[in-house]
Amino acid sequence: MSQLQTVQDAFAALTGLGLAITDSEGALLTKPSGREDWLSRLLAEEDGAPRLLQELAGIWKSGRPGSPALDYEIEAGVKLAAVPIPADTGKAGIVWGAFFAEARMSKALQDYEAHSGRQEGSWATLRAELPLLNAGEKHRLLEQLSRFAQTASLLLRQDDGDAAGGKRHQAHLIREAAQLVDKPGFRLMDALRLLKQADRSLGFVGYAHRAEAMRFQIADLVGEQAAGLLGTSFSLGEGFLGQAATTGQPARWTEMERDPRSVFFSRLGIRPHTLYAFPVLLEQSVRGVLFAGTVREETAGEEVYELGQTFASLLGARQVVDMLRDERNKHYIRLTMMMEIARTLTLVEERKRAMFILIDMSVNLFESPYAAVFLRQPSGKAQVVSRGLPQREAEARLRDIVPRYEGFQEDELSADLVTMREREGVRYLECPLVSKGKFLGVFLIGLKRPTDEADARELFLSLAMMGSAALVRIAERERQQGPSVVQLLHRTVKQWNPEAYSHTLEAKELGAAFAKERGLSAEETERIGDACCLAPLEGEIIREWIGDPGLLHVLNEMREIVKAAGEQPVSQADAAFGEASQIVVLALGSAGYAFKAGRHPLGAVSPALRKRFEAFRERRETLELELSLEGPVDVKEPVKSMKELGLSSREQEVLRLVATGRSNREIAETLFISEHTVKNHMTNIFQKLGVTDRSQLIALVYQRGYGQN
Amino acid sequence: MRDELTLRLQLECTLFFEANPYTLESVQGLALRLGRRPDHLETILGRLVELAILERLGEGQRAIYRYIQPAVAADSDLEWARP
Amino acid sequence: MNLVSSGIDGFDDILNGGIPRGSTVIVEGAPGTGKTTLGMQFLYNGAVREGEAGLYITFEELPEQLYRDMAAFGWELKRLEKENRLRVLCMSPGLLLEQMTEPGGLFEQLLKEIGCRRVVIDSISLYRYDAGERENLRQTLYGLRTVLRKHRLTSLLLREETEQSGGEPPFENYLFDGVVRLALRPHMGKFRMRTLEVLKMRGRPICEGEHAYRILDEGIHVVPARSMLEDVALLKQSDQVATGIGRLDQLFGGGVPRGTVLLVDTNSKANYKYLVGAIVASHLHQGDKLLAMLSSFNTPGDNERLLALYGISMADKAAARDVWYIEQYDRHYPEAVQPQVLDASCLDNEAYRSWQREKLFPILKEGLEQGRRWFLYYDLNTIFAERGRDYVLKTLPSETAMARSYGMTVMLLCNFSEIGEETSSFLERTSNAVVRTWVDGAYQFAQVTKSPTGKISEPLLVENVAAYPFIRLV
Repeated sequence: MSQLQTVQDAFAALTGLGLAITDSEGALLTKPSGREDWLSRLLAEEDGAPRLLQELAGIWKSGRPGSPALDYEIEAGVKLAAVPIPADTGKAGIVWGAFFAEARMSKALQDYEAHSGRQEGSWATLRAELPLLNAGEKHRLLEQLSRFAQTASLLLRQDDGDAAGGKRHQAHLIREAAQLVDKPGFRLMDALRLLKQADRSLGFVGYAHRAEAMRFQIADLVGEQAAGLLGTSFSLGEGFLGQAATTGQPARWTEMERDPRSVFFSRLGIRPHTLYAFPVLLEQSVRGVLFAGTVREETAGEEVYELGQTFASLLGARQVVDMLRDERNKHYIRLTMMMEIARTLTLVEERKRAMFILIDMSVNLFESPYAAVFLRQPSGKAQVVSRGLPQREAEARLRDIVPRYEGFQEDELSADLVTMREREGVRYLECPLVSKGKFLGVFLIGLKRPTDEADARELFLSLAMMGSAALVRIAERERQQGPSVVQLLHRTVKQWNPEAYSHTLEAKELGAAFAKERGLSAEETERIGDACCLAPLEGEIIREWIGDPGLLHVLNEMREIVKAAGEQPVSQADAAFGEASQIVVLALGSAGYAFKAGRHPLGAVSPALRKRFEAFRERRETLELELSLEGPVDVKEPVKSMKELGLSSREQEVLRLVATGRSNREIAETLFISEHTVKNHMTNIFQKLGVTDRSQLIALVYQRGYGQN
Repeated sequence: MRDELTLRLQLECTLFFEANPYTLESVQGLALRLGRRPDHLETILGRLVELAILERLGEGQRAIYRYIQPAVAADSDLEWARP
Repeated sequence: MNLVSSGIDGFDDILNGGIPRGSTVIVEGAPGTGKTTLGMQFLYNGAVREGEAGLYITFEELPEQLYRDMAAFGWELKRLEKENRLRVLCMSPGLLLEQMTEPGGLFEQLLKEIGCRRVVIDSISLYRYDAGERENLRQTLYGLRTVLRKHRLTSLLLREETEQSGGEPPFENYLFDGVVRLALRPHMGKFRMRTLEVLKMRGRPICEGEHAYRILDEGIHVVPARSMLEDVALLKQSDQVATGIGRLDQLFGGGVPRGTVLLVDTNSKANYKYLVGAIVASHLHQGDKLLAMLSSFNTPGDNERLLALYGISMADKAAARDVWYIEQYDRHYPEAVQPQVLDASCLDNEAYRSWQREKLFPILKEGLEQGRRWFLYYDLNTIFAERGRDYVLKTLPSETAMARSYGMTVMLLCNFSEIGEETSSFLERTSNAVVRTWVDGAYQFAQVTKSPTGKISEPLLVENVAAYPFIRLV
């Protein structure tokens, strides 16, 4: 029993599981090993006996005795793995493995608890500490337990029938082997040497690993008599070893010299007398064959056969651990890579660079023969960045893509939007770029060789998601910085109707100045300016591009005012139209803008407003007049202070210095700002005060009685 | 596992060239800039050349690497519209 | 000589125009002095303003860092790269040398690709570590210079600060065409001032000494020393009128620039007659129209005689309607000049203002419309006396500014000791050239304390001489 305890402890340490072995009634056979905190739950006693185990053992017995590994759900989200110990005769027992939580179930419970605000069950605190396993991982766990159960079964049987002292040697070997495989720098050769020590009659011990799907290769061997085996290989079903590899069952053969199947050995000049083969299984497939044999008609003891199976189990366990570790590393590295890409993408400020990253990363990650990003521009054009696609082909792809994404409406990317397609025999993955309900374009990558499709899809989707987010962010930033739609549209006016353009420009300034004087809000003032700019454009274009309903309203009213003026010469339409719209019409008319159909539209404007506007214009003209060298000064309106003229305090400061005759550079130095900034201030001041040069400005300042305030 | 590490370095290299597209460097120079060992970089740069992300000029220790920018189709040429 | 604009405000002035094309210039400075900014500004403005493509070669700093840093000045380097007007190249010092010397190598390819005219190498200090021995370094840098010159590339080679003053200058200073040093100097105790000094520039006269510079929103801005109030724009726009007074013309960069507001400060003892006479006469000789307001001490008769001394007939000028006088005292003018006298006596300030607009401005305007230039000579003392200090303070800036904007030259005569310090400094600010003259003991002195060129003088002795212009400043 101490052997079983040793192996169990080693196994627990190796796998990080909590382990306990009971008989079929639930009575402990060994001292449980592994994580204390889990085991204490399992072993909680009632009336001097572990109640839970007995209870579960009872359930077990009522089920099918030959059933494979099982998992019990002790409570919502908490499971316990259990595996029967196979027994031909004697005691059947049960190996109890660690508690764990299933990833899917746990997620559902969390959601539920978050929603209901309470925790379910007394195991809730434990549940938080349990490892979360997905289906594959759970399967692997149960397999590990099964393997251990097999070893346990062997050891239990030995315990049964045996009293001999030679067994101590064997127990020692098993303990050694368990320690060996537990070491990080484990070498297979050490395990082979250890096995060879089990019986002096063993001439050789070796290991054949699965090199290809159908072939096994012997790369590790101890025993000079069989040195020729090194480097040889056999296929599934070939010879004794191939047979064991096929069945997955341990086997032994004696007096095999004349057996025709021994040709594999005899042609190398090796003539084994006895041969043992122990397949090493991993996830139900044979990963390798541990084998041992005698030569010169010697026969090894029975214990070699059992010991070999234990060794094979341990090797299998080791491989499981290695595989898990590799996978963890792989996931870790992949995660850090994706984090790195994500980090870079969140910092990128240029659209082109973001596209470069998407393309180059996919070429790296998938060894894609080609990759391309197709973006839909607000202008209706397409921007295409690609690697490995000739220009013509890229254009062909674009033509292929556009109709497929017509009317596309998804808020965010999801796995089902990734599609696998094929073109000229090359498979490729395609995915739209979508974020926050905005369709940006399409991302596609060619796939080189048979790739793990699920894996590739997942990575590709992550890339596309990160890319979408980055592109949306960049687009939003550009929108904030770049020229507005109004400015862009206004520029188009300049191209096809320069005369109208200059009129609208003047009207914009006039309208805004008047609106300001009337005390309209900054927003309304801006809207008036915008409406003046957009006046020459067709309603259809405007409806398509302008999102601001306030501006649309002003533009619509403007048209109605023009129309109304044609129908009824003088209207009492004071309240009929908004003031902003009326100002737009006044400003445009005053700037000499030619309304469609040649109508003079002022008829529909409120006479009171019209009068005020005319007074406003007169004042401006007077001002302009007196700014030149000639002309009598005759200001009818009371002068306004600079503040009332809408100058910022900085602008007033600049103006004060200008008035004392200083140059821009001097002002820059006095105020500790750049000359460029001074120029900006000057431009603003010119605009606000309606002057076009410095001397006009200075004259205005003095005429307005600057000295007094 | 070694593959994954290689890939990580590969990405690091690619991102470096993307950020500094007009870099002309030898393995030694790049090792210095990336803080990596020249012998590690050698294979990685080789892979990037195979993937046509980088271009190699010259041979051996004196070889210089530079970034091949992805093709950018002038957006004035292409319409996002049904043919 | 073919000069290349450095693209750095003020720097070209120190170099008297710019850097000779094809020069290789070392720019040295401690970390943080702005070498990189200066180098990039040279390329950026070269590309944007002069249409010259440039190459920035960085050995240590990564381009991505430079793209980011330079964005602070509004320099979109990536856009210039896209337009093939700039390349920010990242390579090792050794590799550059290798490629530069290789026929048809990458360096030459690059030059061809963008039509490169300017190069910045950041920094050649690295060759010191690379080269090891002094002789190697010399050869390396010699090779560098040869290639840069061969392609006629105007180049700035950045260098970390070497030995401080006192040590022997590094041999590169002999090898290359120019050496510019950037420094951070302690200034007024707790401040530090950035200064730029041109130690050498082959083929250019340079303004010696340390010039302050600042790093502003749009890059480095150098303020040539003693020219806090310089007005280069004025110099560029206008031609100059030589007074014949040698030193004065020299200080003004050849003569009084048109559009200058020149303030002459004089005390009652000083004889400013010849100074004023020479300046007024020189403008009349140049064909300017004169509008004058004579002082109470300077009678029309005095003026006639003074002009005659300088070969100008007041009567002739009056007949041609080229001289006009504003008269505040109702004094008598020679008969021929009478029609040109504008009587402003008996007008209160308000009335005087509108009189100016109604009478005076149309006259000035008419002259301008004929394509003539105006020289305005005002005795401010008179205005102070007749119209009051407040009036001057209120109207002068706008009037001078307006005059300047129409290219008129204004000479104001004033006595600082009478108007007080505050008003004096106000007048100094309003003007862009100031000449002060005073008597001290047995001598009369004159000093230029402000000029459009930024040059000022020490007190000079005023010497009367027998011939035109009858005055000399020594």
